[in-house]
Formats: sequence, C-alpha cells, structure tokens
Amino acid sequence: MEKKYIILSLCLSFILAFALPVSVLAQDQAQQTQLVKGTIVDEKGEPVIGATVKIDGTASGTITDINGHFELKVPLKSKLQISYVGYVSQVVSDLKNPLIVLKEDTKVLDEVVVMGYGSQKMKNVTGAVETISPKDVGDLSVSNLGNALSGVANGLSVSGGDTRPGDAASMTIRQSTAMVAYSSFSNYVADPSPLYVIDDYICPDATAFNALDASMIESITVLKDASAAVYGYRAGQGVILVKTKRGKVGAPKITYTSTFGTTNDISQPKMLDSYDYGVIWNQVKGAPSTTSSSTINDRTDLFQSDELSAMKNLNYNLLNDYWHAAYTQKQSLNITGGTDNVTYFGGASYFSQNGNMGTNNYNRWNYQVGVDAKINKWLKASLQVSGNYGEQYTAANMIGGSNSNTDYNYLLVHPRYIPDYINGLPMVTYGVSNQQLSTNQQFNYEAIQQLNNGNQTIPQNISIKSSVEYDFGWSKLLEGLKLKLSYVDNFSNSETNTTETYVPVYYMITRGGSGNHLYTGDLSSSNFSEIEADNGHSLERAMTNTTNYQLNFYATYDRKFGSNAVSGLFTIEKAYSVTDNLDGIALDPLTFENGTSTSATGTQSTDFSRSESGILSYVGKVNYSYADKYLAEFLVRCDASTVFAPQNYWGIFPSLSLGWVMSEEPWFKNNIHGIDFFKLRGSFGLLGKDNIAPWGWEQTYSVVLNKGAVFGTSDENNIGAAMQSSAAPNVNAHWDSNYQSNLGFNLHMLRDRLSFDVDGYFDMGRDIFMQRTGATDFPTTVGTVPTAENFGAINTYGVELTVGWKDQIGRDAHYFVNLQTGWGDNKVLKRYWPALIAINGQHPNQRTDLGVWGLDCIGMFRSYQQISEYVAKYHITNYLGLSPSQIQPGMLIYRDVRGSENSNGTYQAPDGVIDNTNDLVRISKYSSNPYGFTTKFGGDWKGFSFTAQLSANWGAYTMISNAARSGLNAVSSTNTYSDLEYTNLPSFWANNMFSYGNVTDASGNVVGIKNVNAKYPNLQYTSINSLASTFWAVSAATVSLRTVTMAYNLPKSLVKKLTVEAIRLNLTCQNVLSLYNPYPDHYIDPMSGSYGSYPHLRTLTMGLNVSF
Amino acid sequence: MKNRLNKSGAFVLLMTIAALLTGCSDQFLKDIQNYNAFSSAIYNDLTGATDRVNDLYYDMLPSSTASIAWNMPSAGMADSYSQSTEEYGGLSQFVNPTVVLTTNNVPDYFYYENKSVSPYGYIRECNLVLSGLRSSTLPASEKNPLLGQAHFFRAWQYYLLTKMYGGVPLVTYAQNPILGSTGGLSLVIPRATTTQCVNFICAELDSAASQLPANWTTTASTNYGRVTAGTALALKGRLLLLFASPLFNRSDDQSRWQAAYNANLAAIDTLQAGGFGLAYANNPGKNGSNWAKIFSDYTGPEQVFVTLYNVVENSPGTNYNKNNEWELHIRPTNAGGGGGMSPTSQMIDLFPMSDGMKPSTNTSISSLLPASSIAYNSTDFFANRDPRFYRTFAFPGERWAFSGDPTSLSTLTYPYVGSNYQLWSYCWYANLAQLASPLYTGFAADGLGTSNKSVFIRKRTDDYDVNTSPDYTYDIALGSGDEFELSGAPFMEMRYTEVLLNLAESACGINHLAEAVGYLQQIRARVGYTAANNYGLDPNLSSSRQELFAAILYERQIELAYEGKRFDDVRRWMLFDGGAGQASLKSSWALTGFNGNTCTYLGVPPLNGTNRTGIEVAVAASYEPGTQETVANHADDPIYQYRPTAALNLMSDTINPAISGTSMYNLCNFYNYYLTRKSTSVDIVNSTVYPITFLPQYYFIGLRYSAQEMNVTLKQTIGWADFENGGANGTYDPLAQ
Repeated sequence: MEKKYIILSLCLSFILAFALPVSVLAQDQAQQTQLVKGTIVDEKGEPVIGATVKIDGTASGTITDINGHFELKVPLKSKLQISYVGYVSQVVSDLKNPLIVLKEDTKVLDEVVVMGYGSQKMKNVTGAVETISPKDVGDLSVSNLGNALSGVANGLSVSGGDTRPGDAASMTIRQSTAMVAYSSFSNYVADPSPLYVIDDYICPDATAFNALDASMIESITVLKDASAAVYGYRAGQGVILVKTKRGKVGAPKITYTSTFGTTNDISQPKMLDSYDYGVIWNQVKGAPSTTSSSTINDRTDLFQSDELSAMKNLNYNLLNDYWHAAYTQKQSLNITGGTDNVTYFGGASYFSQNGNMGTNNYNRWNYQVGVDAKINKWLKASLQVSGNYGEQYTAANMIGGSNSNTDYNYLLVHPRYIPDYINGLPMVTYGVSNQQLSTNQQFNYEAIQQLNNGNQTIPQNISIKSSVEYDFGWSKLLEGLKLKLSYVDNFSNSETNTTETYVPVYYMITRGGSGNHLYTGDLSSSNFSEIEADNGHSLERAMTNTTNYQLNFYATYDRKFGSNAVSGLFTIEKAYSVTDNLDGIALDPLTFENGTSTSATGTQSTDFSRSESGILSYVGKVNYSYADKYLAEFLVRCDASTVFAPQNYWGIFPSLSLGWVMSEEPWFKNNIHGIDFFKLRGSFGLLGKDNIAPWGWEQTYSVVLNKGAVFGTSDENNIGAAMQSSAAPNVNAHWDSNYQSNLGFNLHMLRDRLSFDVDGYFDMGRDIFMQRTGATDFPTTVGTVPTAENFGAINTYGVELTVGWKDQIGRDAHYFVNLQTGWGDNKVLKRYWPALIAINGQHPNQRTDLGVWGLDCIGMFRSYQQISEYVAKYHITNYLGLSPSQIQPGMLIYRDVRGSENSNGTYQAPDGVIDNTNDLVRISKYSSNPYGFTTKFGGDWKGFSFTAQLSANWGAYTMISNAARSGLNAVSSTNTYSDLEYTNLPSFWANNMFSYGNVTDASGNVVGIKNVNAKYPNLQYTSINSLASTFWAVSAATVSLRTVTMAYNLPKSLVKKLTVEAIRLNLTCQNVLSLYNPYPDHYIDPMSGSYGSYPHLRTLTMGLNVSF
Repeated sequence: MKNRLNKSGAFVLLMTIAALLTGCSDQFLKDIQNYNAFSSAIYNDLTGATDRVNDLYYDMLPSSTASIAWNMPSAGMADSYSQSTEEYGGLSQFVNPTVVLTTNNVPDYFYYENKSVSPYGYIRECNLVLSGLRSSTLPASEKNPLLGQAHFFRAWQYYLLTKMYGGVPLVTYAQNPILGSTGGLSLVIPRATTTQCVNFICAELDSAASQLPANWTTTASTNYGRVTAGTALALKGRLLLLFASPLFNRSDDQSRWQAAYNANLAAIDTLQAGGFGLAYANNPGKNGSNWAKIFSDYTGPEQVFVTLYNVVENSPGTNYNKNNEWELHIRPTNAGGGGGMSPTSQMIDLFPMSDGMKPSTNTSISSLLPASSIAYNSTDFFANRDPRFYRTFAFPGERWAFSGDPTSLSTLTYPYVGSNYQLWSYCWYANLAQLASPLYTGFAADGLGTSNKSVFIRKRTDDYDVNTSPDYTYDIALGSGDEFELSGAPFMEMRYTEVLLNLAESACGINHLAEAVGYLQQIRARVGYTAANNYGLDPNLSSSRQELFAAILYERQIELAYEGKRFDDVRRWMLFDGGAGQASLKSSWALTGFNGNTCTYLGVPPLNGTNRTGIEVAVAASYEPGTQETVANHADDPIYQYRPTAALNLMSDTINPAISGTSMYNLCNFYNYYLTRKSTSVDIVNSTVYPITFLPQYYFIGLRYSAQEMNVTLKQTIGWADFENGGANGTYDPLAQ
C-alpha cells in the first residue's frame, strides 16, 4: 500500500519539477494582426483542397477551399504552418507570396507516431516501433483487420483469419509464442497475443481490434520493446495501438469506398480417383498380414475386377460438388468536417462474405461518430460512440468429431466410388465391409445442411468514449501543463445459437457388383436401412454480456525552451469489467424445430455464471530531448492485479530509453555526406505478467452436481452433488519479470532514398510462472499437483532488419522496394526437468523449438531375404513392437540408432530393439522456418500504381501430414488401415505403393498389381510406416506472392468536372500464388494450408474510392 | 477576469471529478468477487460441509467392477489379484514366472505422480475436510457425523496402503506444495513403521466410530449408504486381523490375535446394535435362494460398507447416473450381456458337497478336513453340491432368468425371453484333434460362438427367479451387449458375514475354538444346513486350532468367492509357499509360529507350482465334429435334439440326481451321454503353460523407483532395489516395530 503512494508522489513531483522552473521563461506576445490571402497547390500546380493553414504555435487556423484558396487573420511577424495528409508540412514566414507549393511527402521522419498516451515524431522515437498506415491495409478485403496486417510490420506475426468467413486472425509480436509454449501448464493463461489499445482504451482481447474497419482508422502503431511499458504489465507481449479517425477542420468531406470481390480456394488437394483407390485397397488388403492366422475372403474383402472396371466411371467428387466460389463486399461511407471550435467525424461500413461451402456466412456493420469541441480557449471536450454488429454462421458437426474441419475433411477424403445420395436418400460412407467402423461414417454433409444444423453467432459491441481536457496555457507558471479526464464505457454481448439434430441416413443392406461393393443393384426401398445419426440432438443458446469501463486521469506537460524539449505524463488508470454468461440447452429438437426451446422435447438445462475483474495503475513518464539530437525517456508504471493475494497486488515496472540522432551533430553533417539521418537508440525496461488464473492464491471449493455418491433407499436416486477443492493455493505468487532490452538504429541515406531500420533485442524472462512436474525433489505425499510458482527463466533474443529503397524515374514514375527480415532464438535456462530427459525432450539451455524428430529411415523392405539380412546384421529382436518374424516386405527400414537411456542421460549402444523413443534422430533443427523475408514493392506512374507483397521462408523440415502419409482418418480413426474403407488418399499414392505380389479376386483376375519398385510403403503396415521418419520429411520452405494491388487515380482535371475531389479504382488479389511446392505430386499447395483442413482462401476484389 | 474565473471553475470542477472518480484506493479491487468458487466458509453450512464429505465418497467408495489399482480394492473381476489365486486363470504379473517384478515394473499402488487423483491426493482431501470441519461453526451434533466420515475415509486410504506396503508416510495435514527456498525439504515425511500406521488407522477408526451413528435409519431416505460406527469398527477388525495374520505376525503373537478379537467383537456388537446381522438368517429359501438375494436387495442388514448404484440413464447435460456394471459383465451375449466371465476348474471342484464336506477327490483343500461321503462325479460336477455352488456358477442346462425381452433385436442371435432364459453353452469342435488339445476352445451353442464360456460365474447376479423386481432396467435401446447397463444393485465391500468370519478367525487365534465354530455354524445355517449334521462341519473342529483355521479359510473361499477377497487371504496366510524363503530375505522374517510353515500348518498344498485350468463342457467325441452356428435354427448344433426339455430350475427342482424323472436326473443323463468335461490350459505365456510362481519378496511389494525418485527420504522395502542407494537391497522392514 505504502509503495503505491510513494509512486504517486514520485510521479507528481516529476511533473511539478518540470512545470515550475521553466514556466518563468514564458513570454508574452504582441497582438497586432494582418489579413493574409493565398493559394496552395501541389507540385503539378493542381490546387490542394482542404489543406490546413494554421498560425504557427497556436491552434487557430483555417482550411483551403475547392480552389485551394484561403484567407486568415494573422498577427504580425507570425508564421503560417501549412499541412495536408500525404504532403510535407511547411512553415511559411514570407506572407507576401500568395502561392504556396506543397511537396508530396516522401519522408517518414516527420510523420507523427502515435505512442502510448500521446504521440511523437518518428525521428524522436527511441523504442522499437512499427507504424502501419491505413493505406497499407485499406485495399484488402478482410473479415477481420488482423489478417490484413500480415507481412506489414517487422516482428509482427499473423496467422489465420483467411479461412472460414469471420474466423479471427491471431497476432503475436516477436517471440511471445515461444514464451507461451515454454511455460504452459494447467492454470496458466496461455495467450501470446499482444495488448490491443484503441484510442487509449485497453481492450480485453483482439475482438474489438479485429472488428475495426480500415476506413475508420487513422493509424496503427506496433510497440515491440520496453516502449510498451507505458501500458504496463499486460504489454509484456507487445502492444498494437490504434488511433481512429477524428474530425478535421473544414467543409464537410465525404469519402465513399466500395469493394466487390470473390473468394475461392487456392487449389483443391489432389486425391485418388475411384479406380486407383480400389486398386490400392486391394493391394493393402491383399498384403501379407503380420499375424499369420489372419486370412482374407477374396470375394468380400477385395474389389472384384468387374467392380474395378465400373469404378473407372465413378467419380463422386463431393468437395467439387459442394465447394463453390463465394462473394465478398465492403461498403463504407465517412464524413468529416468542422470549424475551429467543433469538428466531427462519422462513418459506417458494411462487410459481408458468404461461404464457399454451405452456410459459412459472415457479415458485419461498423459505425463510429465523434465530436471534438472547444468549450473555451482552454477547455476541450470530446465524445465518440462507435460499435459493430455482426453475424457469423458456421457448420455444426458433431458426428464423429466436433471440430469445425470435419465437414471439409469429410468431403475431401470421401472415397469417390461412394455416392452421397441414392434415390434421394442420404447415404453413410460404408466401405468394403459394408459395416460401420467409426461413427464418422454416418456423417453426410448435405443431409446435415438440409436440416439447417449450424451455429449462428451474433456479436455486438458499443463503445462510448468521452474526455475533457484542460490546458494551463493561460498561466505563465503552468504553460504546457494539461489535465485530462477520460472515461470509456464498453458494452459487448454475444449470442450463439446452435442447432444440432438427429440426421436420418441410410445404408444399403446388399450392394451390387460381384463382391457386393458397389452402390448399385437392388435399389428398392427394402434394401435400404435407416440409421439415426446423432449430430448432437440439442438446441443451445449461449449469451455473454460484458460491461467494462476505463477511467483515466492524466496530467501532461509539454514545452520547449530553446533547444530543450520537455514533456511528462502522469496518469491514474482504473478499470473494471464484469461478464455474465447465460447458457441454455434443450435436448431432442423436433424435426420442425425453430431454434428455441419450445421446439424441443428433451431435458432442458440452464446455467449462468459471472466473473469480474479490476485494474488500478499509476504511470509516470518523462521525455526530454535536446535539439532533437539527444533523446531520453524515463517511465515508471505501478500496477495492481487481483490475480494475486492482496499483499502481492502491486508490481513496479520502470523503463528507460535513450536516443542519439548523430546526423544532427555538426561534425557529422560536415564530414559525412550521403547520409541524411542516423539515429542510435536503446531501451531497457522491466515488464511483468500475471498470466495465471485468478484466485489461485486461495483454497476454494466449487459445486459439482454429479460427483458425489448415491444415498438413500431408492435405486432411482441421482448421484448427488459434491464440493470439489481447487488446486493447492500459492499465496506467494507475484508478478513475473521480463527484462527487455532493445538496441537499434535508423539510417536514411542517398537523399532519403535508401533506409535501414535495424533492431536487436535481448529479453530475459525471470520468475516466470511454471509448475513443477516430475521434479526430483518434490515429495509425492503432498498429494496434489504443484501450484504455479515463480521460478522459470528463459532468454529470448533476435534481430530485425528493414531495408527500404524508393526513387523516381523521370518526373512521373515512382517505385519502392521494402524488405523485412529477422531472426530470433531463445534459450531455456530454468524450468522443471524430469530425472531422465527423453532424447527429443526439452534439455537445459536449449531453445523451446525442439526441432523435428523421427526415426531414421534407411530404405524399404522389398523382399524377405532383405528382412532376414537386416535382422541378422543388426540383431533385431523387436521391430516397433513386432517380432522379427512379423516383419513384412513393404515396411520401411529404420536404423537402430541407440539403446535405452542410462541414468546419467547417456545412451546404450544399439540394442536390436527399434522403438519410437530411443531410436529417434533429429530430422530438422527447427520445426518452423527460422529464416525468411517479406518484401513489398511497387510503383506508380501518372495515377497508376502497383504494389505487391512477396514472402519467402526456409530452413526447417516438416513431415507430410499424418493423415496423408498414414491413410488414417483425421477426424475419427480406428488406428488401423481399415480407415481406408472410408478415407480416400492423396494422389501421390497412385500406382506407387509397394505390393509384394499380385492380388487376385475370387475369379482369379489380378485386381492388385505387384509393385516391388514402388516409392511408398504398403499402407497395411501403417502403424510402422506412418511414424515420423526421415522418409516423410519434406522441406518446409515457402515462397509466396501474398498480395498484389493495382490502382488508378483518376486525373484531378477529370475528377474536378465531376465535382468530386478524388476517384480511385483498385484491383486487389490476396493469397495470389505459391511459387514453391515441396509435396509429392503437388498433392497440396502449401499456401492453401494443411491437408484436410479448411483452406486459406484467395480473394480477388475490385474497389472504388470516391471523396467529395 | 471573468475569463479567469471560468478557467478556474473548470479546473476545479475537473480536479474534483478526477479525484472522486479515479480515487487512490484499491478497495474496489478487494471487493471483486469470485463467482465460480467458494471460500472455506462453506464448512459453516451443513449442506456445504456435507457436500465436501460427499466428495470423499466420490473419490474413495469402492466400485463393484473395479480391478485392483491404487484407488480401488479388488472387487471380483479377473484382475491381477484374482488371477493370482484359484479364482481365475491367466498368469498375473505376481505369479508369472517369465516376468520378475522389479522396481521398474511392480504395480504402483503408492502412485508416484503428484496428483490430486492419487492415494495421497485423497488423503489430502480428507485432511482438507477435517481441518475445514474442525474450524467450522456448525453445532457438534451436525459436525461430528461429518468428521466421523472423513476420519473413516482417511483411515480407509491408509488401510489400503498399509495392507500392501507395511508402513507409509503419515501425512495428517494438507501440505502447501510450494518448493520455495527450502527446496521442498519441509514437505518431506518419511515412512512410519507398520505398527505406527496400524495404531494411527485404529485411532482414526475409533474416533470415526465415536462420532458416527450406528445406523442412518432416522434419515434413511437421504443418508442410507453412508458409513456407520459399525463400518469403522469392522474395518478396524479387518485391519487387526491382517496384523495378527502370519504375514505380519510371524511368531503367532497371541496379543495380536487378542486385539483382533476385541476389535471384531466390538464391531459385531455395534453392528448388531445398529440393526445389522446375517440377512435371511433363519430363512435360507430354496437352494440358497435367499443367500443369492443378499446381493440384489437394495438395502439389507448385510451392508456394512456399501456402494449404492442407481438405474438412472446417462443423458447429455445431466449425467446423474451411477450404474453397477457387474450384471452386464457376467451375463452371456445372447441375453444381451457383455459376454460373461469364466471360473476355473479348481473353483468348480472346490465347493462342498451337499452335506457340507469337501469333495472326496479334491486335494487342494486342507488335508485336515474330512471329505464328503457323497461321491463326486466330475462330469456331473453340478450334482449334489453346496447350495452356494448353484448361486455362484451357471452351467449348461441351468435357468438364469432376467426381466426383459430382447427377442425383437436383430443384433442378437438366439435371444430368449428373459423370464425363460436357459443357458446352453456347451460347445463342439471343428475336429477331434482340437477337442483333445487343451489349447483349443470350441464353438458354443445358442449363438454364443467362440466367445464360449461353458461355465459362467453368476455370483451376485440379480436372478429374476429369486427377485421379480430387479435392480436394473433392461433396456434394449442401449445397444447390443449393454442391455444390462442400467443396474442399480448395491456392492458390498464389507458385508456382515465377512465381519463374522473375521471374528471367527480371531477367536480361533486366541483359542476360543468353540466360539469360533459357533460363528461358522451361523453362516452355514443361513444357507440351509442344520444342526442335524452339525451344519455340515467336522465335529472335531472345536478341538483343533489348525483345522479350525483351515475350515474358516475354506469357508471364506466358498462364502466370499468372487468378491475380491481371496488374494488378501492367500497373502495374509502366505499360502503361495507357506512362508518358505522369508528367512532368506531377512533372518528375523522366518516364521517361528504356525509350525514354521503355514501351508503345512493348515494342511493345504502351496499354490506355487500348481496351475489353474479352464472348464469346458464339450460335446462327446462320438457326436463331434461340428461347424460354428451361422443361422439361428440349431442346424449346426450336433446334440440340440437331445437337450432335456426343461432346464434345471433352482426354485423348484431337486439337486439330487438320484430321483428318476427330475430335471437334475435328466440333465445328468444328458451330460453323461452327450457331453464330456474338458480341461483347457489357461496359464499360458507364449503358448507354454507355466506354473504359479509367487516370489517371497512379493508379499510386501516394493515402491516403484519413480516413487523413491520423487521422495528422497522414502526408504525401499527389504527385498527390492533401493533407487536412492544405487540399487542395493532396501532397508525398510515392514515387520519392525
């Protein structure tokens, strides 16, 4: 408690220390005026409409009219500051010259960057910061903003968001994913996401950010290092700051943006056709079994030759049937304007994207209205209301596995000789045995669609932001000091409606063909038997309602004294959030259900819950710069977290950053030519996290309704309720510590055409929450899982490099290339170590990425002689659980690398036992590509412009996905080759699977050809062959063209005739193409995602942007 | 100056609002509530405190179909305990000579992992409940019965550990699992001696008994099924009998027997005061039908330590069911059961003849006991046996009715209407060579196919002939093989008869022989024996402590068969080898009492070196071979036409085959003409039959190396490798004081 007041007084004294002595220096000004008239044009002589003309050093000014004219009363001897978005601001002292030419902005250094609770010029920034302009993302048609940030900022990774419409993207900065993987345990809050701050409001998660529309954004800033410390503990994983658009002084300006486009898959995985599938089945089924007693029935277990002939003409390609191109659109309309005293901004936008499969639809409305008002000269107030409303429909698949990819995977791997409908009856996917091996086989995509099974999610969000600011500019003493109070109230609710019914599906009792394997023959209704597939048989509505507020009191100070610029900030932040959940389930919906519980006949249940949390913080920050040359920032933040016991609420997080703009030094300017700007900067700071579940410090108890015992004298009594205890409490848990340091420089040379931005970081995570599991010194008699303790330690480090080149050719053509690259690694110093660490386990001082491990494949057994030679040579006694006599041709050969592990961690010599623990080798040092770059390039010529983004990554190996190499069904598997009965295979298997001999059907026809030179092993031995091994390793390298945009700005002269300000047209393609495919037979395009999962989509859009 | 005032006014207003709203107090943080869980205040509320105790029941109540594990006692299934005795074939890890148990592969009942779901996790729960209740503001009248239950369960968990390991660490409070700067050393508790553990458990049970009611009769509708004072004392009796048994009492110390006697006598007194006793004591019913009914009565005086089940169906969103799956396990597939369980030939030949004496051909039972004068025909093994035989086994030609009708199910071949179910599970072979080989089993009749189990275990079944309002809801909608799933029959971990047998053995231990015989007579009388033939007992029992011990152990084999108790008895009495080899582990471990060898003392051959065999009722060679039934018309059954028209009905038929025209007479003729009894090999490893081999150090199993690895002060038991000491012989002596 004491600590808190110390910090408070410390912070206040900072402000006063600067406020008092310097205010004496303030001077009075003379107040004589003159009228200035002028015209502002661009370099081509076109008038600039809406440019801001301000009296330098004051807030008063005007804007230019449609002819670029302005008139303004100006005090004598004062200067005018002219600014317009996209042009270099300039200060004009010669007020006699009526024509002012604005130069197009090609420099970024003077750009103002939105930093924590304020803004700074880019050249004064001392932290590792990336800025993203809405121009970079505005042309992309995305259902969530995060997806558009991919490849835009160095150090920011984006994944997802481009598959099912409305699915959120997730973002991480630097190595926070590795940190989460490192310390993950049961009551750990595993979230590597950065903090999202929208207009100084700290959002609880990425939802509000993803729901933003690019047309309403002024700027996005990514804070990667200790400069994020101003947002305190929750900023330990970086911050994404958003400033939304506010009103601008001037006549009303209207901007309309419209985008139409289409989304489609990049490519469909290539699968076996019916005939190849049938042959492979026969070759698998006909291969010698590892158990000698197993025999097959040549008629019923194999596709007969007549059946195979018929299958040549069967091609039920369900994915093709049900997948189609989809449409997306975005419409947005903004209006802004205002006078000196009141400015306003209003906007609304609508986005929609329909599904490529069934009802995977998404749409969203966004709106935002804001007013900034000057109540008097020193008092300002602002009010902003923004929000969004959307709907997302997704499939509800509960048969065989409830993950959202079941539907796509089902359609993909559906064997192509099996129709999904016969005579209007939806069919189950029964294979050769005509039996159910897995409930997954009852899944019939279209039958579920027809019954309107699905999830509907309706999120709604309203945010009200208000602030008043008082400026002490009238006081000589306190000039530069501002006090501000801001209050944000945020309401969000979400409703999810789920409909899951029973689905009647059918199987044929006797099928056609001489082996009864075809879906032909007796098609009378008596030959069809119904199965009631259970797709969840319930209706559910889940509602969540969150209300939170954030209240800030700020005192800021900003003043220049000659070459000394001083600014300071103190804020108290108080936030509170409460969430209520209500969830109702009604079982057994009627076939004519209407989504509400009135249309269900089964048990109905309801539960409701609530959670609340609060935050209290004090932040003090001081910035100092001398002649824009020496820069310093010192910050202290003090946070309270209710995750910890009250005595451990508070944590103190200081940080310091320094910058030296060497190019401002006279000796530099005089001696070094060709370098326009060079800044060295460094930051060091302490951040912390409280990422464990709340209330872990207290022993608590919770009610479980069905975890008691049966008591009483009736055998119909329920098992009763019980109170279960929580995990053991850790009252000592406290903030962890993350010491972040960053060193970097910015170098601009050759007349600002070439720029380098380089950062190196070294972060030391200490006292990280971990759980001791299997620690050798922890007595088991305690009888519970050890609680999270502050004891882990990890270092993460890396470098980031951005190189930019831009130039112009002649007068009209400009081009640019921007390349981002980086490298990062980490070292685990302290965590729980088991007594014996597996060869592929986490060892001390290694990185968290353990690489890719597998068996060392040295070939394939192609004859029995080869098997006996191998067994004799290596004294094999156990081959992955098989005895030597069970080894069959068509199995992969693995090397006996070593024996079992000794108690000191060394390994015994090869022991004749091949197993999947001790015989592993490291196939790849990295499991994800360590090297890579993203480059963005483009140019413009007379209103035409072009930009593209290309990225390449390499250095790791990966395994061909398990489903593709094993033939096992990814949704529900029997873990034997029997899965092939209902699971088709990728195309590379065709004519390329080992078969020891010809397989003949009941009539003696060859239905599976001998193939001893095949590349791939026989799938009957999938438990041996599909193990991760060098055999299945492929390069994980990717080279892809991510986005291409072409745009055309209509000439101003033409536009003017239409009485509009500007018209811009663009054509954009996202996920354009992949330039490198390591997969056999290119069965899948690496850009489209992983095999069996809903693919990443390619989007092609045309956009129109008109401003009035 | 007006301007100034406005400015100041605005400033003041702003500051006031700022100060009021932001505040500098973190009280609002402390006001934030946890809506998902409750603090220890729940112990101050009777429902909250009771729900905490109910959690202990959820964790620790034994399960009717449990296999021996760290959390469950053996309950009659073919687990590694039962498969170490004559009850089931199949070499368990304890008796398989091809696998020597070491600290790497010994079963772990100590459970090395640090989890809330482990013996010490349960003990931790008990400790939490006890400390919570002690500081509770509930009145003593409400608090004490709850305390008593918590003490009982802590004792129960320590009993299970001490039984296996001897002494274990006694943790009596909930430890805070934070290593902190001490490296966790403050959390380490070393192994107590066995005596310390026994004393601790007895003290726990005494305080449980003093706080628990003798029964819950006044609140039976909500509390029946909770442990009672009698439960606690009965467990104490069981523990002290174990402590007096040769396993722990190598010198036959009389004071140990005396303590066991006192405890069991007190248990019987308290149980009787609570209304417990032998169920149907004076009402045996026809062929022991009421003895069979003990297991299907939902409540009854036998239920000393009971686990109740219900017939509620599991439905999504509720899940309030707790079904007893025993009935499901034991029923044949053509009744909708899971397939049934097979006894051994040894168990079939073990049960007494109808005069109460052992079969004359049996050499596995004590040579001290006289054999029956009734001839034993091993083919007609079911003729003239003890009534409990018919209630323990089902054999081809016996009715085994149930309530339900699966005949409409297409998934069942040969379904019967339940009220007329007859077991015809004899089998035939594809050729005569297979019939002759003990390695083959045949095709069973009535669609039982190769899942053949000629003779079935039917102990604890809910027989429709005995009980017309069964404790299960036969539900054909549950799917083939699960029709009996919704069974609510109770399971008795301890029943009154066992307590009486414990008392009898303790009495025998202190030479109260006549008293002990009296208890045996009560048990025999309950199944229909009378004073006319001294309840089928040898009149000389009351003059020989050795013979009486043997008779009591025999009675336990019969009475408690397939209730998961036999391995404990074999281990207690060291019947694998009589105790030979103990001296080689430690000289002081040699048996000095019981004539130096319990097997010779009791006159029983050691189990080591013997084999279990399966029993099969096969079609006689002259009617062989046959093919497996594929169509449900009995066409493939070689002797279907010769089946007697009526199966043996235990509720009406005699068990004496001598009376011409009875079902028993006809069934014996059918067996004698058309069937043959075959022994199959069951103790097989890799196609080779191995004899039972239980090594001397297995009587006290060692701690797994990993348990020691996690707990450096945990000493290893003598006879096992000490992980903390480079694999040297362990130093912990479970027999030390």
